[in-house]
This record gives sequence, C-alpha cells and structure tokens, in this order.
Amino acid sequence: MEINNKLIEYMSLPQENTKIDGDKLNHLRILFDGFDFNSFDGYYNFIYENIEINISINGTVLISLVSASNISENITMLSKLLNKINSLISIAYFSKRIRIHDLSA
Amino acid sequence: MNDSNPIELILSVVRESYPDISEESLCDIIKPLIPKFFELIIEEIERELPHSAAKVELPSDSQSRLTFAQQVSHAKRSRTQVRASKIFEAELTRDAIKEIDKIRQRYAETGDTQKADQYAEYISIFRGASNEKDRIYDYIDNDMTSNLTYIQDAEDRTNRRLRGLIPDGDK
Repeated sequence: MEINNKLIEYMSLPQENTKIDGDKLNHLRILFDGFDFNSFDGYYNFIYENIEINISINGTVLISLVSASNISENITMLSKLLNKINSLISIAYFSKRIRIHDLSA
Repeated sequence: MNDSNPIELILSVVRESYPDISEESLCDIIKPLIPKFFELIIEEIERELPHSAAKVELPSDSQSRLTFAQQVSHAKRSRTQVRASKIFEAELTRDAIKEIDKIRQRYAETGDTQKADQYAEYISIFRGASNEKDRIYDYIDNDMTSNLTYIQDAEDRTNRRLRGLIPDGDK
C-alpha cells in the first residue's frame, strides 16, 4: 500500500513583534499539556507525535503536521489552532502562509 | 593454475595421483564428491559458529533503546532548528522590507519617483532572495521529515489531540 504522506506547514507572522514570556508562555504550556516542550535561542517548541509547533519569542508561530489523511480537513484544524494560539498571545493582526509538501515523492 | 581456488587445488591433487586420467573421468570422480564437500563445509560452519557468535558484542536491550532515543531526539532537534530558521527568515524579511519601504515612501512623498522606483526594485530583489532561501529550508525540512516512519496510530492520536485543542465553539 502506497501512503501519500504530506507535510503541512502553517505559519502566522504578526504585523508587529510582540514579546512571549511569563504569563503568555504559561498559557501556551497549559494549552499544550502533554506535548514535549523545549526552548532554545528565543524559540519555544512543542512536539507531539506527528505535530510540531514552533513559536518565536517575537510571536511568529509555525505549525508542522505530517499527515496522510484529508488535507483540507487538516488545514481547517490547523487554522483554528493558529487562531487559538494567537488569541492566547494577544496577536490580533497577522499574515498566514500555508505550504504543503509531498513526502512520498 | 590458480592455487587459491580450492576446486582447482583438489583437481590438481587428483591429476597428480592419476597422471593419465582424462577430463571426463576426472569429472566422474569429482561429481559424487560435491555433496560431501558441502556437507563438510556446513559441518565446519556449525562447529565454528558458536565460537564466532560469542566473539560478537551485541548491544544490550537498554543500550539499543538509548541509541534509538538519541537518534530520535537528534532528528527532532535538527527539524526544530530548520523550522526556527524558517521563522527567523520570515521575521527578518518582514522587518527589512518594512524599513526599505519607509525609505521608498519618503522619496515618493518628496516627488523623487526615480529613487522611489529604485527602492521598490530593492524590495523585489530582497523578497526574491528570501524566497530562494525559504526553498532551501523547505528542501532540507522535507528531506529530514520524509525519513520519519509513517505510523497510522500516531496520526490518529495526533488528530484526536488536535481536535482536543480547538475550542468547542469552533469545531
């Protein structure tokens, strides 16, 4: 059976830099309870199975998901999750970027 | 004659014992012996195998698990670093373009369209270079991610988790 594996990458870039620390980070850690957490050099990283969420200290969010299931459904879920993250870190204005890579090729 | 070839060696011994023997007769002598040779070889292997196996140092179960965990951790860290680079590139491009655009706007407001156009061109060159860099990061990211073993169970668990993170009203 050939598996059509995709890497979906969803990024939100705030119009203005914000500062993620203290309370905001605590909110994120509560949201991503049970995820592997690590931080280095101004980036906070949450990893769980096939999903990785990288958040810069300036408020840029990158979600990467490896999936073989329904792409549009996954994108909708990631979009909602991005909105949730941005609302937690008080970012109202941001641009979004979606990229889909075929890993089976 | 190639002395290192064991079959040639056997044939030469037989030829020495029977100097007048024809090639056909030689084959007739050798043929029935071939299964016996294989039998002897297998016996030799079976006799030596326990000694050879004892000399091989196999990693213990805990060592194997530790090595695997280290490899997984290294792969995750590498991907995380590439993704951090993507974020940095996006932020850098946004900030740089914002600054160059401020200068372009100032020239446009003072009526210096030539300078304003020149700065618009700088923006386009900068954006192109950044896109190129992004494509390189994508290539590295895909390469590392495609090495992941696809596990259906993991995907099901990830999807359940994702749904759990989204507020009820948005589902």
